[in-house]
Amino acid sequence: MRKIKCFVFYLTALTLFIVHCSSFTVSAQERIESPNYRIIFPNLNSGAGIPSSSSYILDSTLGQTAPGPYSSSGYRVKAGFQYVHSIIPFSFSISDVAINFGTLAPNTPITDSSTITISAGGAGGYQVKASENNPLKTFDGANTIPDTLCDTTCSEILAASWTSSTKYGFGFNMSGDDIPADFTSTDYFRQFADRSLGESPSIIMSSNNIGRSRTATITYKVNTSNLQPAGTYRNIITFSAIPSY
Amino acid sequence: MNKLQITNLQNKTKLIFVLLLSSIFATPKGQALLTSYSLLAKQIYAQEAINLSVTPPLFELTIAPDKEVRQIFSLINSGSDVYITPKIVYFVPSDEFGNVEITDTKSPDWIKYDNSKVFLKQDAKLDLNVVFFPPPDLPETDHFLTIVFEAENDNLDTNDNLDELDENKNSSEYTTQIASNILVTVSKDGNPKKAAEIIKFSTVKIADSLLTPVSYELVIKNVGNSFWKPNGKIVTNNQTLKLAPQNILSNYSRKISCIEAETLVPCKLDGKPFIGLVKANLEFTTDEDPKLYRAEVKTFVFPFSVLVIFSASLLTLLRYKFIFKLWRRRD
Repeated sequence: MRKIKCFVFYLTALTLFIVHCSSFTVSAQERIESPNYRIIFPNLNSGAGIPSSSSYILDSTLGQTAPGPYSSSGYRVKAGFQYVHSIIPFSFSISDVAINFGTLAPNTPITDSSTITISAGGAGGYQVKASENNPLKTFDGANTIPDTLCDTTCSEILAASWTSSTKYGFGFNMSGDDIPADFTSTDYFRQFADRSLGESPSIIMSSNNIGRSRTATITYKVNTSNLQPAGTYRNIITFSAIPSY
Repeated sequence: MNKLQITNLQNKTKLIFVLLLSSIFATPKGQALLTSYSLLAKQIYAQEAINLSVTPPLFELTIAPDKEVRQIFSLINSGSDVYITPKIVYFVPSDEFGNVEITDTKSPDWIKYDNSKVFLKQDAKLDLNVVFFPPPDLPETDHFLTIVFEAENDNLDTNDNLDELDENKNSSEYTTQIASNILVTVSKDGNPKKAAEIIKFSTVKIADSLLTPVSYELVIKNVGNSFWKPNGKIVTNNQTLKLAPQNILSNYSRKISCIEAETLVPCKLDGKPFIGLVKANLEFTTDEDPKLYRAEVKTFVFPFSVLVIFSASLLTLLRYKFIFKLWRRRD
């Protein structure tokens, strides 16, 4: 038994050593150009290098100065934010692809959360907006779990307290970075903007300044009455992440 | 060799291998190896998440009619497999901070790109080639556009897949849009009319030199025919604040920040005199145009808080002196 353990240990160490000695490959971007057009590949990181040619230098910060005056080239281009030297990607992530509320019992609110992260690389502001295609409804559309009105009244643009187990519906709360000011506590909820009613997506995260790894949590809440017909209730939530110009 | 000698040999061998492994993982490559193993575990989790990034986040183009420019917009998927559908639509500014409201109006025909749905696996990249080719007779004007990448999860259920008796599938599924903004000026000579109007350049009139920060609020309107950036500064007695070159779209206003080492900051003084008048002179041009726009504001700075504390202390002292005198007279 001891010999087997030793064998496994030595084999693992040897394998790691061999992998360690293996080489890594790096793929590089290229620039394609012809007399009739120029294709500009953006830098994905500060180490990507700045393309150049014998007739001009492409500066990712200041943009391209065309070879010759505007009267002959006919264009000027700039990519990225001019006060940041690298072209930094705009990134958006959510921790889940869906939220499963499981079995809904009357007068028993169900909550679940997802984490949203935005990174604008420190270059300008952003907004994240959310909306639903329609309220939670069954396959045939006959039955709906309505959007919440909270304990008294709330809307897609104004949150309100929702703590009563006899107030029904579907809504969400925001907490974390860059969230709207009306989410004053974890008990404050809004309903989603309903696109089937023509409502515009509402802002759930925004910043006018730097947006570097900003994180917020969206918490959903569903509560149904004992009069809610049985069925499978679903909808689709759309998140839109847009940088500032 | 007896059992004890065998054991000692085995232990020595183990020790040599441990030292060897330590030396491997102490090197940068070894650390990268450890990181890649830990990321592999994280990647298994990340397959269930939505994670997209787009570059460039902003593209600005000045183009003459009948000229052609191509630009690649790259979308990287670091999350679960998704279907991507690109579209380019017009936007309108939604506030004075550079945020946009995208519309349903599609981009004009002279902006060409492939808008078909694409399946993008995890860690894959989509390079979308967009061609700008305005026709010869196109009016010289600006076009404010947003390229939107709509992402649907690979497992997005449609109504056709629902089992209406399966109560365990009450759910909300996600779709995502990530965008990048495109500003296009169509101009025959590359010199469209650029003009500015200073809507607001203000600060506090009186400030406490210890407590009140002196900051400047600047709102500029573009009254020309093409978008531009303010190129200028705010100069005070002992500090210069550089204006952030933020785009101002034609017929719209924008609140302008300052910039410090590639970071947007409020236009605020770090220090100020203890007592005195602080003059702030704003001067800027629209991009590289020669016309200089100016404005001036003043702030009177005084250590009011020190005065208040001193006065309160003096009054308290006088009060107790008065009370002490009364007490002595009674005696």
